[in-house]
Amino acid sequence: MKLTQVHLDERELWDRLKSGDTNAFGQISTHYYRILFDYGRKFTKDRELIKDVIQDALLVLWQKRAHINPDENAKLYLLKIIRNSLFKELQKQHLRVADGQFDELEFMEPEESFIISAESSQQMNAKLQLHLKNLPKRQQEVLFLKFYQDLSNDQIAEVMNIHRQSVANLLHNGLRLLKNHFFLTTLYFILTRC
Amino acid sequence: MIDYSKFEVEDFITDESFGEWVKGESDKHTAFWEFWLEAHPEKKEIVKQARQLLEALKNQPTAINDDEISIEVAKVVSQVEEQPRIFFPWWGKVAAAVVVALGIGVWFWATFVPKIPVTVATSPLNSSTTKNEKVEVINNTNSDYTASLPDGSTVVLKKGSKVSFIEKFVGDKREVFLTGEGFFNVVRNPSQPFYVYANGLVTRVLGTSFTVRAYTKDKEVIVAVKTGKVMVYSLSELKKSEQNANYQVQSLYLTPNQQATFEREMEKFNKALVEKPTILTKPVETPDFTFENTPIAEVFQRLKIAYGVDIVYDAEVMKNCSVTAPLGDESLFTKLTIICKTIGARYEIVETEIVVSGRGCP
Repeated sequence: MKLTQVHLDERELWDRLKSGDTNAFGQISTHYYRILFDYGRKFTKDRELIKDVIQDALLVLWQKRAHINPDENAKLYLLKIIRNSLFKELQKQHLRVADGQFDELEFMEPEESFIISAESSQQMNAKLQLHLKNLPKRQQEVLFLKFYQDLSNDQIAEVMNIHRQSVANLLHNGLRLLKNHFFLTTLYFILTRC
Repeated sequence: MIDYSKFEVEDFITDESFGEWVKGESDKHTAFWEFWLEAHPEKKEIVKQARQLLEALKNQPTAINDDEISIEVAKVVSQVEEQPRIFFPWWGKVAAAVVVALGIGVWFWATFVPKIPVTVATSPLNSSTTKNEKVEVINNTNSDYTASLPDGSTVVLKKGSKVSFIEKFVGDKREVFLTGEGFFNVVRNPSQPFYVYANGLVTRVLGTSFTVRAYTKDKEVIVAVKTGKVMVYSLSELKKSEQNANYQVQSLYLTPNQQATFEREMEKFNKALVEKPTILTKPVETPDFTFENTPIAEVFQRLKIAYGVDIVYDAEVMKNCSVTAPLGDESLFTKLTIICKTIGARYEIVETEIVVSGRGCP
């Protein structure tokens, strides 16, 4: 469950942003901050680096506010900036490498994360995080963008700069693997308890 | 028509109609899937798994908390506010021409008069300024002075006391800084909590009335609550939570008639009743815990009376919640667990009170 859910007339907010309303800018930034941060966490544990990258992305949004068409997805635009800048930064640091070697990037540990959800689904969530971690990284990224960020396959293809069919394949294979891990262990638990 | 009978878990999860059903906002899809399941009972298990997995995927945990986000957003917004204002002509050609002319002028000026920061004049068409300036109110009179805050809240300042805040509350916090003594009457706004910072003490409320006494010369800060609920903690606790998202802030919850004394040096809290508390009588009643569609307020009220405990919850958010459960000899905590399950909430124990939080009922 995402805590920051700003329900507002988006069109009006964007109009206010265009006219230079910093209050609207603050609201839009708050609205997008969590999803951008959580996306960034998929590539690095360095929280400060993610914050820097998000700050730059939001400042770009402010500078280009006059040219932004609210019908186009600002979220996609921001996600793309975050992804590209993080890759650039990580490359610079020689710690992590380019897109092609994305598979070696580390994903976050489940215990570090905030689990904000009802008690019953909390266990499910913890278990899911565990199994997600075992999937190939690109599959994890697609699943994250699809379900946590609510993007369509086309949008995912755009953000990750890959073919639409690759998205569909990654999604399908990822889900199948996840299903097998997820429900196999459940079965295992049931069997051992009997 | 899609033939769902050959679908596996992963196919269901990526199916649009299935997703709509799980979301639960569309009667059309709900009706379709319930009907379909009746016709395909052999698919029940697979559908159940797909539902579970999809829900878990949608509710992945987040790695950042709300306070951290508001701090970061405030940083970005303040950066933007420091920049010179440049207008983009989206409202019409006339304004566009004016701005272009101004722009050329400024360009000449900026090019030929270097080393002076560029400022761009604002167009007269735009009447509102967005520069969010700091406002400071000092009561130099010999009597109380009532200052109005941007959100309609008020603060009655004692002689010589000072309050400062920004002209317009930005982001998801309302923040004011106090020196001296002030009685706050805060307009309720759950989505934008109200914070008072005073001598190292943070007071956080949604909407209530309370007094903060924080004179620079005093060794302690006092917060006394008249109505509503108030949360207090030290500034150093807040900073710890800013540095570490997982840090649990040590805080104190106050209800009417209660006051907290904060010893500045030791950073220690004492909680007590206010000097003149209103009398609370304890009615004698046989407790009845058979709830049948009982509004949540009454449920908590009965527990309160029976156990003599304080239950803190947001009545406004949970006003639509009701409980149907025949409870009896269970312990208080078992009862609370059951009640919380039925209304999708959870409880924790803070000091002497039970704090129930949830997102309310439809």
